[in-house]
Amino acid sequence: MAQTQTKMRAFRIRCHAFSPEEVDALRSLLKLLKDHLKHPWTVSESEPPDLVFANLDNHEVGDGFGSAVVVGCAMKPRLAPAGAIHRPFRAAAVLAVLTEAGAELASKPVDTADESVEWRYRLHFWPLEFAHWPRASLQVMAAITGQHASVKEIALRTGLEDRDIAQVLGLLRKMGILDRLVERRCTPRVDENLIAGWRGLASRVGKLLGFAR
Amino acid sequence: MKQTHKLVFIGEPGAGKTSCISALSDIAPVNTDVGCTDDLLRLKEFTTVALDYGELDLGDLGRLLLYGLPGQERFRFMFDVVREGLLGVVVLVDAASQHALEALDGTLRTYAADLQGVPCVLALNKHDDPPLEMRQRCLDVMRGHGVVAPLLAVDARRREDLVRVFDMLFLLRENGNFPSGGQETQAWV
Repeated sequence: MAQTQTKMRAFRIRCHAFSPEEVDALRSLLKLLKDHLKHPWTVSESEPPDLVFANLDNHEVGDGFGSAVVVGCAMKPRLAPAGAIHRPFRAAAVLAVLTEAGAELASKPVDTADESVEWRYRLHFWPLEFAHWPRASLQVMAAITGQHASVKEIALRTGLEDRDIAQVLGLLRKMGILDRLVERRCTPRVDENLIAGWRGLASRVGKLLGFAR
Repeated sequence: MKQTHKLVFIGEPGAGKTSCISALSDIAPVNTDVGCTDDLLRLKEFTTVALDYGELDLGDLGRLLLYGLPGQERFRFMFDVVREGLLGVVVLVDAASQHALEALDGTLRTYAADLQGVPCVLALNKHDDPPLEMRQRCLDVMRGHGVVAPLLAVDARRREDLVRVFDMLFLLRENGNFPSGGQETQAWV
């Protein structure tokens, strides 16, 4: 049986003052390097970065990098400050930077008491025996079948109380079938029209086939 | 124009796709069955070479279109045709077959990527009570392909068994977050 995993979200890279083509090239490189990197990395321009590649050939001033690791990139890295890598991106240099930065970032303890982060859960797989499980447990499992979701999101989707959800998640965790990761907290969004639409359709099909919804 | 929703049954030849659609459709099911001329003849007299099709009239909510798609890779393109408006997918396995696991593996090799964003149920057909070991191995095959789905034992000819499948698919749709099939929102808003 699978062990419950506690893993970090993908580390985020921001490309400061690069052309869209160069950013796309980095995205392609990340895909190629994925299997050689111990930690997942993603390029994100919208969320606070863990690592910033700063184009030193462009003199645009950067800010808002917070505590991110900043790595300079230049056409002539030998003329740039120490630690700078070649621009355009080269696979070997990117691999070396991300391997080192990934190890450093992963060694930092995750403060889950920090209100800016939250746990998100997803099922590894459905249990084989669930026919007699309470409906609420099935709802929670359904809510975390497709994608990771926080307790707040699960509550919005299912209409269940937080404590009931926590109880089910605790059980799934004990069974070793729950994956969880820490992510920056975001406002849960649920499309109520969509859910109402599915409920209406379920009710109609239920009437036609003879099952109650 | 009447709204349409789609439910797709996929599986290897003999898994029960035609039976499912026949049990649910309120029109005469359309199928593309032809006589078997190869090794399949040992399993069944006819097999589907393109798709099965049926419909369930939902009154003012439109129609539920029922499709049966073969599991073989050469039919994979048809999934793109039925993707829009998809309620969910039922992966059917002939649990009485000696080759059930290979068949499931073959079907998932073809469709696993398509099933990632869609509510999906694995239905073990033709066996009243599939042994725990077999169900566990089916689960292992699904995990190997990264497919997360509940597993149900069904008799595809019985409407009440298919009701359980529908109930599960709707449970996933109502409570879950699946990117595919969201285009229906436009009509519901």
